[in-house]
Amino acid sequence: MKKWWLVFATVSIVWLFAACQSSETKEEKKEARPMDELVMSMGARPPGEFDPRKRWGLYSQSNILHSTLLKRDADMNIEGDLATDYSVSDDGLVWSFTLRDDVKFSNGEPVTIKDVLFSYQMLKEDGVHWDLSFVKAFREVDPTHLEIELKEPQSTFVAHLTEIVIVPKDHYDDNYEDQPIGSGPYRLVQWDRDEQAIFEVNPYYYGEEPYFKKFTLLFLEEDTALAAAKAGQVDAISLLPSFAEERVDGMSVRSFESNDVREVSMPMQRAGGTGPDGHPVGNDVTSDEAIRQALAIGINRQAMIDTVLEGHGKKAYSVVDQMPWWNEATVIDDTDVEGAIERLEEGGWVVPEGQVIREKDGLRASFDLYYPAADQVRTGLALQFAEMAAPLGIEVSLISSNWDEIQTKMHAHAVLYAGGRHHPHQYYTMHHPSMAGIGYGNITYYDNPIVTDYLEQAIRATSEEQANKWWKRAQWDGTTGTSMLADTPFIWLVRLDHLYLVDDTIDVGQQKVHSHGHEWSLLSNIQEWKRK
Amino acid sequence: MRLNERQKMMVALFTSSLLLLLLISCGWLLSDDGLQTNGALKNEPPSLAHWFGTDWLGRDMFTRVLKGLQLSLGVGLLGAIIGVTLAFVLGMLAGTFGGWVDAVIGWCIDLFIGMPHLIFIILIAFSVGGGMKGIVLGVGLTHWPSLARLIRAEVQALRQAEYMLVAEQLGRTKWQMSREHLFPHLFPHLIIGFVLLFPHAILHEAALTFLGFGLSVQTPAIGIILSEALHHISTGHWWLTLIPGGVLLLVVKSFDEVGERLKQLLRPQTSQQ
Repeated sequence: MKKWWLVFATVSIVWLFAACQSSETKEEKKEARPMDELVMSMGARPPGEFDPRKRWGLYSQSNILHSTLLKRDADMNIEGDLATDYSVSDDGLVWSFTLRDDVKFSNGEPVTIKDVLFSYQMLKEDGVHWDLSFVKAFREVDPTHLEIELKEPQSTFVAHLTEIVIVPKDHYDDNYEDQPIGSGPYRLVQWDRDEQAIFEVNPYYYGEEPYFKKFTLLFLEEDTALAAAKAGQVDAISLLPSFAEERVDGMSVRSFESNDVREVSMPMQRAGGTGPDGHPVGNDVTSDEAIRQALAIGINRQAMIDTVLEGHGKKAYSVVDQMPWWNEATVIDDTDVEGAIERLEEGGWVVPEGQVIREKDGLRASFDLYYPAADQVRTGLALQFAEMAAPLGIEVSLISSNWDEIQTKMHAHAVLYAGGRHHPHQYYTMHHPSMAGIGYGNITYYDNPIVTDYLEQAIRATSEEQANKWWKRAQWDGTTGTSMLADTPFIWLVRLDHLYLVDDTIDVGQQKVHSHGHEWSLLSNIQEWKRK
Repeated sequence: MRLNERQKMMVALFTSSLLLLLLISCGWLLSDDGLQTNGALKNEPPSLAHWFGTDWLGRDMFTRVLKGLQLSLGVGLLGAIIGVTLAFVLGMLAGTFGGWVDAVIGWCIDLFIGMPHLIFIILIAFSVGGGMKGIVLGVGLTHWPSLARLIRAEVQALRQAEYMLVAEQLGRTKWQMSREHLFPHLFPHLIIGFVLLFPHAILHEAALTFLGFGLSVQTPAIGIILSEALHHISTGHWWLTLIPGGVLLLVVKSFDEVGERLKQLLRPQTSQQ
């Protein structure tokens, strides 16, 4: 017995000592950091860091390390970055750019038109995450004038110009992500994979010098990040909705509206197919329209917002909600269990005697829903989705997984998916049959010829107004469309507010409406941040 | 009042049986309503309405923990049955037939003991498609070697016993000798092996589901409960980890206690170990 008391006493003393130590050093830790340096954690490491071929730039990261031809200001207006000026021919086919001649990469070498041509050409040839197949030619008119000729007008091309980052032709290879070189406001000085990335001001940057000279991104799990914030070790963290009520002295919760949506993808083809990558395509249950529409109207989105998002979100109806190209007529009423059951019975799905799961011609109304296990918001949403499907007589089996596996399953099984960009091109790739099976494009293999025609009209439009008219029709033309009023290849769930816990002394500037990817959304304008 | 070992064993057995009965009956009697998410009941500390509190999705932790333990007991039972059956069959074969049969089985025993068995369990669980089946087979197929080696040694020793030699001289077949002489002798070993393997299997189930190699998050398993709760430690919601962890410890320790006492009673020579 004495021995136990000894162990207990020793552990208690050590613990008390450690606790006193940490409370003593909390303020010191904050004060020890220079005013113009930041330490932050924006969640676990997202894939494809720093390399555009691996998706870098898709989600608001473009202007931290790199330059782009054009960029968006806080009000989403297009302005020049590497290009000082640009013009488009009347037929929308030739885009001409005047380039700055004073730009250098972070290694001191000049950025030339050859680097711009290389960056675009390389991504066009790759064709996985950036679709540039509509480009006919990239032309160097002279060292400061670039022309891009398109095969046909492309109304979303301007979006590519704000996202595609310029990489150095002479230093780009398969290991580029390990030592990225760019011409943006910051440069990467240390990169410990899965642990931290340290950025410092790029001494050759052509724009205004950022206030913060150095920032460190720690790749911490959300709960660890919260503990680090409480210990005064970080200045800003991304916050899970379930932590939104947590209070930390000297820090406050900042909430930003986003078009970052969560949805359930529903494979649209019958089972038995195989994609170009050899993975199975199709699902007999999710390809049934009655199942998709019943789930769309039967679930309770507000309960998801209240429970999983702690009220920090809105109901979602598409991947383009609240954008100028969104069709407001696609808003539907939900929590209509009776209506959903009626829709299922119209569709031939009945509950057999003594059973709870519906059947149609011997096929059970049951399907698997994959979700990334590391994502707590998606896990919560998946759980609630499955719960809400049960009273309709639909069995949703949840399978926790990772993106490597999900990529092999996503054409034949439902996936708790996400999206949301600053332009309608993602909407196009999610629904156009030519993008079926390519990267994360049309993962449901959706194919409605009427909608395809609308999408093509929209993408070929030469003005935004004209394009928006067609985008809206593609969602719902009164008879058909991609929305939950008709084809429903995706059951849209919620639109998140992005939450962060930020030191009260930090001014994060004027933030754009955040796109998908809370990790980098807040940081997209870090060169404008200041200490109050 | 001082209790002797037999009385202590009876008390431990009674307490464990009561606990088992309580867990199974509560698990059956509790409706699944407490497993549903509920936005109005999130993060409630333990109270009369929710004995073990609620989690961040408003699920009742008492229901989750009890249902989780019921599942753990099921996995433990099946895993232990598979493990003990395998150990008995292979141990008997090796001890009875000797020669190359013994060599092959001995090699398998060495191989299984030499491998870190948690990794082996994960591999097996993966290869059979995961889920409940994966965990049961993973636990059962990796926990036979120690017992099999013991049984093999016992059988080899017994084969040299005089009464076995006499039985052989009298023309009894190997099957008859195994059934009439070996099995009754080995039965206590099997019982002890089973009772000791049971809590071990429960811990493995919790470990596997904790690591995410086991069941769906829809299933209330102790490992899943603990692994989810781990993300909420920094919020100070102590009941999410402390209570499920404590109850798991209690169950495992009580069955381990029964096994150890049973071992001392049935194999007194081990009581000094």
